[in-house]
Amino acid sequence: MANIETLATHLREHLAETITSSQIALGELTIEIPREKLREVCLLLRDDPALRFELLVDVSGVDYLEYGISEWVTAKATGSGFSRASDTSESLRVIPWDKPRFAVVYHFLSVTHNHRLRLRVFVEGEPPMVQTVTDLWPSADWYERETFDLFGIIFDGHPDLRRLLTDYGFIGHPFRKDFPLSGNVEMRYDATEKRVIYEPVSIEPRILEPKVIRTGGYFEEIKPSVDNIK
Amino acid sequence: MAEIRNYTFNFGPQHPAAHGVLRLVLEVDGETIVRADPHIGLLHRATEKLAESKPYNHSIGYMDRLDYVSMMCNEHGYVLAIEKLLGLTPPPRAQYIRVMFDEITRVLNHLLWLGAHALDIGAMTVFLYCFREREELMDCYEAVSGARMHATYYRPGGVYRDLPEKMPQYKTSKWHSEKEVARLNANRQGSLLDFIWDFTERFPMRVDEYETLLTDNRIWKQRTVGIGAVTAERAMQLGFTGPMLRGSGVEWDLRKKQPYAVYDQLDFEIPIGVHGDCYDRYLVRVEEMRQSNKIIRQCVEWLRKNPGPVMADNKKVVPPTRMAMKEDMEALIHHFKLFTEGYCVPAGEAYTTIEHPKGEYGVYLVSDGANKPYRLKIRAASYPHLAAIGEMVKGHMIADLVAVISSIDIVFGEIDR
Amino acid sequence: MFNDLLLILWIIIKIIVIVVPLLLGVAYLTFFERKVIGLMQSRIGPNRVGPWGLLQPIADVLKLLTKEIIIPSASNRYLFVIAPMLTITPALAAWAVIPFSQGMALANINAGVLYLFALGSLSVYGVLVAGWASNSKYAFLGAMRAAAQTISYEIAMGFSFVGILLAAGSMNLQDIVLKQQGGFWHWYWLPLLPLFVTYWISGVAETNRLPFDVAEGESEIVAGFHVEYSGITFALFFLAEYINMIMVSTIAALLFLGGWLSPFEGIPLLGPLFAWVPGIIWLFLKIGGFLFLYIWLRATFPRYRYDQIMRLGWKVLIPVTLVWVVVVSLGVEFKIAPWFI
Repeated sequence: MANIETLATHLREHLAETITSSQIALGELTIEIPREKLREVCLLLRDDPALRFELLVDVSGVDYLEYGISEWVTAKATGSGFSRASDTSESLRVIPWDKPRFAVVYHFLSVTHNHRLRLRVFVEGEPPMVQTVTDLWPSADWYERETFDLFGIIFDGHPDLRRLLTDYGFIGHPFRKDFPLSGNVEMRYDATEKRVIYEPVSIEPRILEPKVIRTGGYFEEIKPSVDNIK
Repeated sequence: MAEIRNYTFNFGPQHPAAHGVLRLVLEVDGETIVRADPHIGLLHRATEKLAESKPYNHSIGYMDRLDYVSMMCNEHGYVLAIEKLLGLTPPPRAQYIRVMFDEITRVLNHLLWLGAHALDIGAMTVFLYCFREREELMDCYEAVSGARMHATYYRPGGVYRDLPEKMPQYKTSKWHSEKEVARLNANRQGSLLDFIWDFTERFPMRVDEYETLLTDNRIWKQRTVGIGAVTAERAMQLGFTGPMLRGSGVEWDLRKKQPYAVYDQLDFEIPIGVHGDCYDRYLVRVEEMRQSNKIIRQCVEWLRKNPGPVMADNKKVVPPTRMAMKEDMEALIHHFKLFTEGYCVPAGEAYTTIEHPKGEYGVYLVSDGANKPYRLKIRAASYPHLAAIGEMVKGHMIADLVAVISSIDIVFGEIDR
Repeated sequence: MFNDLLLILWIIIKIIVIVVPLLLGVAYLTFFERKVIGLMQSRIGPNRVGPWGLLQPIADVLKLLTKEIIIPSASNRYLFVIAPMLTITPALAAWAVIPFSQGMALANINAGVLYLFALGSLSVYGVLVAGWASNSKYAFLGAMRAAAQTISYEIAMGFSFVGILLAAGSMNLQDIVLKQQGGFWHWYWLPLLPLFVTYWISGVAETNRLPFDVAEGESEIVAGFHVEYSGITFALFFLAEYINMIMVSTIAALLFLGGWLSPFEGIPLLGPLFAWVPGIIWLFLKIGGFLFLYIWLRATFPRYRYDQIMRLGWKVLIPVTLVWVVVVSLGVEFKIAPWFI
């Protein structure tokens, strides 16, 4: 794991034109590439003898729709209603965001060199689309199906892009930030029709604990002093 | 001549060998499997989405419910991710406690796996033997957290509380006379550490018992050798980790290769298989139980010698003690803030992995500086293993399918999340 | 006319005298099994209903009797109901020729062994019909497996019977037992050891017990042929299985372990000491031993795979029996003492 700097340099050398951003944070290397270059880069990651990422450990989608948006500021509490502390009347964007809404994040692992890599591809459009890597790593099969199911990101070229985790006939992509936590439909057994029926959900969406983004000196306080860390 | 069609049928979601709610659509030619298409998601609870709607600490309990046979390991992965983002290091005693309970959990998981695997292949007795040992380990969970399964014991910054000095005792009842109860309580007289030590003394003999019943049993070997074999190269392509990868002969264990907590200070070995079939995976897991036992003993020895705090000293993350709250205004405020709002985690992202009993359990956590995770992705250890089942059982018989399903050690709480 | 009626009444009484203790025996065999397996698995077994749990089988019977019989809507109703009867009838009828002691048999017929064999083969029809009539894929698979397995193992079993017939020179069960007179070493288990072992393995396979229970295969095809059965219809299958277990044990005791003969016969001191024990007690002890073996096997072994069972039956057991049948016939031809005279 100590060779992460070397790995970063090696990647920057080989993919100088492709990588839009690369950073090492918390001992992890993250690179971002444009989505057109995904397969090209992945092929290199897998086959380059200095990289040899044999394992695609994880693929996950991220929806940045509400990234950096706070639901509450201390001075402004509404004082009524169940979600009384939260105020959604105006956007409280604390961290600016100018990148596309969706990203697909790949985590790679090399057993030979014992290093890891995070690769992020931002995807645009509706539906967002990116090329598949199932032929490079068969393990991507279910991860891509899951990401498609939960985020609606289409993986072009995937041999069998069906829904995986949600119900048969499910509508929508539940992990998108604009999909309500309580869902859109609820189901129950109807004794008169003698079958399970779907109905619009009867519970109101509510916020139990509002999301707060603290800035200012907060993190200096929360980060322990250096001598606390071994 | 009449056209002969293959037989298609549903294996599960209600099936004794489906290990939960696996639905497999099987196409069989006689008894030989032509195609197996797993349908998952029947236990999907959107844990990751739920976690996005509540402060960090509220989701620790959800982690127990992912892989509900290796509870504390899941917690460990999640807690490590938070700690990484916070830059917090728990005190060494807490780390030793975590490692000890991780290994207890590994033994718990492997015992259930072994029992269920044997039961699926028809050896009923092993199942009950395994549960006999699980019972005692569950008691350790209970002693330390009050819950036998869903412990919620790990916290960012350490563990919830120190190990208890006293073990809970059995009481007499209509079914248990005083003499019997005295016998049951015999090894519960000391502290939890004494209890665990006593267990580790006996456990290798118990493993020998299971092995006597299975390892050289001809029927067992006929049922497992050469079944569901995966080569090392293919295993990596399919994203296998943990015992599945080691069974195929790749020496890969995060506890050795990318050590977390205090694994780098402990002495243990990594068993690997050769052929990557059910039998090798069985041998790997059985040996892992023995190695875990060794680790637990080392932890017990260390913990006996080194008392100390089990929680980091950070007022913004760790709640104050009851005593402090009674006397200190600031502590009371911290308590209030922590239990209403929680703590905010610096913006950033972290992917932490632990060597979960089933493989690599990863937690990908994205924070935007709020008191709730922005995105939590759990990399379930057995998820890619199940994804490969179609390939592993092709050409085998229905009875082998059962052996393969149980040998990959799947738990649907984790796969469906 | 009156005498005929009396005779029929007498036969019915005899049947009742056999069947009622048999059913009770089955009930307590399940109890015995659960207790023994419990002990082997370091647990207690049933202990709540009645003293030491002794009323547990009665409670089970009551439960099964009062449960609803669910008939799947897509099944063939008549066959579905007939199938359990088809299974239990031969299982019970076979007991007609079993001699419990000298002269104690419902019917002492000369083709006793043949009769047993014929009825043993009939029971597979019930299983087949049940699997087919249920209209369930699991049940169908179970029935197919059961049919193939029963037929294969019947051959091996038949050959071991042939060995007995050669050795005893009779198909009458009483004669076969009496031929074994002369103590432990004169019983057929020793000269016919390979046949004895083969018979026992086939017997376990015939009754679909572990390690040969692929037809039920709990963890593979759920419950196999009787997956759709509930209540009393299930109970009949269950009953038939246990009656067949006792049957196989009884035949093993009769053919290979000298039936009701005392093991101490001819031994100077012990022989006279145990002379007072009635033959039927010895028979029951031997049957009990075999039943214990059944349970022991169940607690110890994993399950074979379907094709492995076939391989064992055809490629191992049948050749072994064939060879030994030849050996036995040579022994009989050249009158090798003390067994083949």
